[in-house]
Amino acid sequence: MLEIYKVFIRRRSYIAFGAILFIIVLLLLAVNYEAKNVLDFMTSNLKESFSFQGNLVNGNLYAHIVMRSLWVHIPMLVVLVTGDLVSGEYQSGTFRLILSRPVSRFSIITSKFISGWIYVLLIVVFLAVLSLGLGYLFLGNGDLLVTNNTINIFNSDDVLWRFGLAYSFGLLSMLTVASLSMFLSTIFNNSVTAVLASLALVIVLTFLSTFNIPVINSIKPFLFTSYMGGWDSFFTFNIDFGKIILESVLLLVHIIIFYLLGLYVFIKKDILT
Amino acid sequence: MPENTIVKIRGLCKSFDGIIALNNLDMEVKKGDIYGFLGPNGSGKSTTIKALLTLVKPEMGDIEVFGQDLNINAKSILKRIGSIIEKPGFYERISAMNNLKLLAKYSDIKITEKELIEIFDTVGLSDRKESKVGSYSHGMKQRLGFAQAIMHKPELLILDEPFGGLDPKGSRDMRKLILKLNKEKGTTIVLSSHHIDEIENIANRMIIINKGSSVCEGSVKEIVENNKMSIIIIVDEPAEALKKLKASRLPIENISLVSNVIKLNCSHDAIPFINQYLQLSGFKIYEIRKEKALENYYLTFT
Repeated sequence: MLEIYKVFIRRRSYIAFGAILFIIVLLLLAVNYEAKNVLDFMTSNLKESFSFQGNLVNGNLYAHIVMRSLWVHIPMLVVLVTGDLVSGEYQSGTFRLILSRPVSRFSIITSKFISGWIYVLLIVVFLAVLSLGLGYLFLGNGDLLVTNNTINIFNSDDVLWRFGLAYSFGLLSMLTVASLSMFLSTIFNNSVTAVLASLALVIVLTFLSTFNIPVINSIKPFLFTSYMGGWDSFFTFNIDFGKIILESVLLLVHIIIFYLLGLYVFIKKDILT
Repeated sequence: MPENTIVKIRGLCKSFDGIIALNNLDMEVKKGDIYGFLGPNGSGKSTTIKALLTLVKPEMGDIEVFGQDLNINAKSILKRIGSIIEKPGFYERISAMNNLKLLAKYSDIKITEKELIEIFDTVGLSDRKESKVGSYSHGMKQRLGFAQAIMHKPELLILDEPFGGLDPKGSRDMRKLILKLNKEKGTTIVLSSHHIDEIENIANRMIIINKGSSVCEGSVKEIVENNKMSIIIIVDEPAEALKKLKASRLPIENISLVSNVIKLNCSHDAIPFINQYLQLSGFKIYEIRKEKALENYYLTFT
C-alpha cells in the first residue's frame, strides 16, 4: 500500500490519465462530427462490392478506433511512470532513508513491481471504461465494423466480451512493458536515463517486430513486442485461442524474467546516491 | 565481542570500479560513546557508514553491531539504529509529518501523533510540520533528517555530516541535542564530520581514516595529549623574546620564529609559566594562543 501511495503522490503519475482523457475526448469529437467521413475512409475499398446500412458509427466502433489509435502510445505513457519508480528514489535519495531501516530489499522491490502493475491496470481500465462509456453515451450501441485484411461486422451483443478479452490481453502486454522499464529502473540511478532507455528499447523492439526481413524474422519469437498486437485477434470470427494462450504465456514469462532480473540487480546494488 | 562494544568492524574492504574505498578498516565503538569519524573527502567515511547501514555490500571483512553479525541479523540490528546519511532525501510533495509517518511504517514502528509532534518540537520544526518538504530549506531538511533518525528512540545513532548546511544556531542546537541524547538516554553516537572542532568538542572517542584505512583510533583526549600542543606567541620584540625563551629552562620544544610570530610546543601546564617569564623579562605580550592540536594532527595525515 505504501508503494501505491507513493505512485500517486507524484505529479507525473497523472500525466498518463490526462493524456488519455485528452486524446479520447478529441477522438470522440472527431468521430462524432466526422461520422460520415470516418465510415467512408474505413470502407473506401469495399463500397463497390457492399452496401452498408444502419448505425455503424457507434460506441463500439469508436472504442475500437480508440484501442487501435492509443495502443501504440500507451507503452510510452506507462514507461514514463514505471521507468521512474525505482530510479526516481535512487535519485532523490529516499532509498538511503528507506533501505537503512529494517525492511528487506526483496519486499521493497516486489512492492515496487506490484505498484507499477497496479498503475498499469488502472491506466488500462481507465482507457477501457472511458472509451466504451463515452462511446455508448454519445454515439450509442450498434454493430461493430472491423476492417483488417478482411471486413468483419460483429453483432452488438457479440462485442463486449471481445473488448473484455482484448483489453485483458492488452493489459498483459502493457505489464510486460512496465516490467521491462522497472527492471531498467533498478539499474540506473537517474530516472531520465531509465525512462529514455526503456522507451528506446521498446521502440527498437517494436521496430524489429514489425520488420519483415528473414534475419530478423528468426529472432522475432523471442521479442515480447512481437505479441503486443495480439489483442486484435479477438476481433475475428475464428479466434485462434491456442495461439493467444501461447502468446499470453510468453508475455507472462517475460514479466517474470524482468521481475527476477530487477530483484537480482536491486538486492546486489550499492546505494550510493 | 565485549558487552560494552556496540560496533566492531574488522578488515572491511570495498572498492568501486577498481578504486579502493575501504582498505582493511578496523574500528570499534563502545556503548555510550560519542564516536568521532574524521577523514578527508574520499577517505571512506560515507562508505563505512553505508556499510554499517547495509546500503553498501563490503567485499571482505566483518561487521558486528550489538554483538550480532550484520550479515545475518540486519533487520533486528537496523531496528535499533537511527541515521542521517549525507543530505537526507524526503518525499518533497508530501508534508514533513506525512514523511515521518511513512518512514515509521517502513520501520514497523508504532508512533502516536503526539509523539511525532514532540519530535518536531525537539528539532524546532513544530510550526512547519504540515508544510510540504519541497518548501523546506536545506537546514530544515537536515533537522527533519534528525527527527526521522531519533523518532524510534534508537540505541545507536549514526550521523554522517549532520552539521552540513546548518547555520550557526542550527549547528549549536544539533550539538546540544546530540549531547542530550547521549547523556540522558545513553544513546551511542557515531558522528562523521569535516568539522574538526565539532569532533574535538563533542566526541569522547574517535577515529581518523585516510584512503580507506584507520590512521589512529582512541580517546580524543589521548590523541590530543599525545600530540604536544602548539603555542603561538605574539610579542613586541619577537627575535629578542625567542632568544630569551631558548636560553630559559622552560619545558618547551621546537621553538621557532615564523613571520614575527613565535611558535613552540609545550604542555598545557607550561603556558602560564611562559607568560610570566616573558612578562618579567619586560616583553609586551599581545597574544598567546593554542593552535588546534587535533587539526594539526589531522592535517599531517590528510
